[in-house]
Amino acid sequence: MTTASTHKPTRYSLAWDDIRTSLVNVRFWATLAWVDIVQRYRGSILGPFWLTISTAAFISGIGPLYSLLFGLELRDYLPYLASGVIVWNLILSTVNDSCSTFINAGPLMKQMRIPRMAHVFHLITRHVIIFAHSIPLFFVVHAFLGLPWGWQMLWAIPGFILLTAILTNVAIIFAIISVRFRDFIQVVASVMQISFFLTPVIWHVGERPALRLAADLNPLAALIALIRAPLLLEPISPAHIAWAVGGVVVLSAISFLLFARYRRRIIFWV
Amino acid sequence: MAEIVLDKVTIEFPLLHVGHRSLKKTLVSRVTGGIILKEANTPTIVRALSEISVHIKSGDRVGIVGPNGAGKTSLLRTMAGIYEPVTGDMRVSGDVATLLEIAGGMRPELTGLENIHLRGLLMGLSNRQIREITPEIEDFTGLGDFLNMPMRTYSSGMRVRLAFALATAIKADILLMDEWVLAGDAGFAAKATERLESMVTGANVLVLATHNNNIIRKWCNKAIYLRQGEVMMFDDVEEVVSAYLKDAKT
Repeated sequence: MTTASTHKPTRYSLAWDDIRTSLVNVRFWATLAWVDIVQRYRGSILGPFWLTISTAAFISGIGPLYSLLFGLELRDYLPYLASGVIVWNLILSTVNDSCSTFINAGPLMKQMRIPRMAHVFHLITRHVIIFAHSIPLFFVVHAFLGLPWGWQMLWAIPGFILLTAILTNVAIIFAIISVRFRDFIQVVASVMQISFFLTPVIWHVGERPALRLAADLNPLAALIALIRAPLLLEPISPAHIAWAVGGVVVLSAISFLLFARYRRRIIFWV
Repeated sequence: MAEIVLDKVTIEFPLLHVGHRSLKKTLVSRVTGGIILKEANTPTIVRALSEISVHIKSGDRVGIVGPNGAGKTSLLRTMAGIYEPVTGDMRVSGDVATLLEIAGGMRPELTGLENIHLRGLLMGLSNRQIREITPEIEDFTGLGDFLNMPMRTYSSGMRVRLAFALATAIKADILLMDEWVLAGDAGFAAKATERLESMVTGANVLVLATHNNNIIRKWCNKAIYLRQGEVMMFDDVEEVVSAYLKDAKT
């Protein structure tokens, strides 16, 4: 028999194989992500634009009220709020959903051999599509208020890529932890809920140094700033750039090691 | 050449979320006969397969028999590459098609046609190739207009038809399946038989887990008798079936 274990692949090469095969299967998970969107709104007239409408309703409801509460000009506050809420929604829904990535994919994983990472890419793509439905709202607000445009806004694109990379790594880590420890899903949901209030999404740091420091120390604030600051033609604070770049490096390392270590066991945990 | 070689393959898994509703189903089917290893302060570990060594060659049509929880489905999943062995070596040469879970990989809220498309993508087919195989699947399932309806509206028999048609639409060298597949109505059973016959003639490998001795006599030329995750026998069908029946009576 020729079954002698001549060169057993290491867990790292197997993990890398998984990632590569997942990337090759791009049409599968991209279609799946699209189908998620279509199917959720099957039979509704507005389809995925319901998501846009509800965000629009939120912004136009909260905008005037909070601009009064905070004593800010609506003209300044509305674009700030719109960009903040839209980016926050992307972060929140991706992070919360990431916990159930493998749990939801269980039946498929038990039916056929399928690379694990494809499920993570599916999740990320779905939320990016949803984001693409909402981000035009910012530009509508911006145009409506007659605010100036600038090339500087294009910095939001690398910002978005960086944000997506970070979210992907977070999703891998959270998906693995929560398929093993189901309680983790509740923990994440609670933490994210509190984070909404602790992060400058709807409130503004303004000229208060204490709040500025709090925002600089908050990685979620950094993630929002990656897209919001360029769109508002403001510079991104160095602290936030450090968070984002450092975050993508550290999280990639953690997610790869975790994935390599536990990839094989995921199927037994679902 | 299609071939499956398992050398001292062991599959173990922890029993987690035992009180968890979603897992209850899985557990009930798995725990009944597997060896349960208990270690202090660690989650219960089930050894689903214990040092399995089998060599399935081209042209073999192997039935797997054994009591509930003997590890039949686990063995199929291992051969399919779904479970990766803890220890031991495994080599599978040839394209593998699987028919393990009845709704596996299907999305109930999507139509039959959409599910066909998704499965095609998963198998790495181009849109053109998917369009080419679709009429054949439509024809085989005999589902007609139902293919434009969400799968949740299907009866379980209709789901079986679609699942079977999908798994066999692409020529695979190795077909791994659970016995429920052959549980359709008479008309479907005849069609399925015909399809399987065309698949297993030639150099293909079929591995079938079953409780039904008629199915195994009809379809297989070899059989594995599995008990508590161990291979008791791997031989010609008649000998294995009679040994299994004898054990079952005592």
